[in-house]
Amino acid sequence: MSTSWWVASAVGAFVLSLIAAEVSDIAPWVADRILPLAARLWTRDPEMRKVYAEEWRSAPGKLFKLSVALSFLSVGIVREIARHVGTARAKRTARRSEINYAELTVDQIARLLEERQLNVRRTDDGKGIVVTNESPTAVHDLLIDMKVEPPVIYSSTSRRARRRRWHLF
Amino acid sequence: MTQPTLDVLEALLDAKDFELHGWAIIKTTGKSGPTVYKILERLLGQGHLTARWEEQGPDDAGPRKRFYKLTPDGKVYARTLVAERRPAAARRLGWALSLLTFGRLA
Repeated sequence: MSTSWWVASAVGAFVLSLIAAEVSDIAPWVADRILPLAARLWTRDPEMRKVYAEEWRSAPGKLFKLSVALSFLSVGIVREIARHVGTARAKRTARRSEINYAELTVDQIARLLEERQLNVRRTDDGKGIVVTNESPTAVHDLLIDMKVEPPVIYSSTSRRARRRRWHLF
Repeated sequence: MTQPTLDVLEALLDAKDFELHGWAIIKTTGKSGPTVYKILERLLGQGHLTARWEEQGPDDAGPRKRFYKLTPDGKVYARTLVAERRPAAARRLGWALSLLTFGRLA
């Protein structure tokens, strides 16, 4: 081994130990800033947020405290996402349960959409509807608001999308 | 009933006065913080646990710990579950005998 290699190793080890010491020193400070956010994502109960934020701050050690904070934060993020998805799904279910499933023909639905200023045309097989000036989600929501069970509808909002494929929903 | 839940219940049954603080439960069970706190949250909601803050004197510095204790109902629940699912652990701590006696008396 050359002398330069040994010198580089020694300098590298020294720099790494400095970095580790710095990280170790600032870890509790970072953890203290992460924990209130983690507690906020963990629960919706304002009282419990305060409780958890304080309780988790009592984690022993420096790096362990940071790792605990990060683990609670990551699980809190997952919980929050799950909560939002669950809420959106619940809303959709609630809305759908209110629908009077009107037995409308595709022609009748096309006429209703045209009355709402949408550009509508039928698919080649006659079973579907193509809406070219509105997004699939908006048309779907519009039909739900009209208490109409959405049929198979294709929509294209741009030339690029039209070339690629129809959206099915 | 998951294995981590049984670990938490066993740790509490094994503790002095059936009470431990959160980090002690994590250390005893070897489970991650979020896993243990999800279980504690559920057991608190079901009324099997009560929680209290550590009493600190004016000289005590640092954040307070929070202690979790099995309620009387929680003890019965935990003992029954551990005796059913982990007979070896129950025997080690002598609960199986007491449960058996309790069952004969009931």
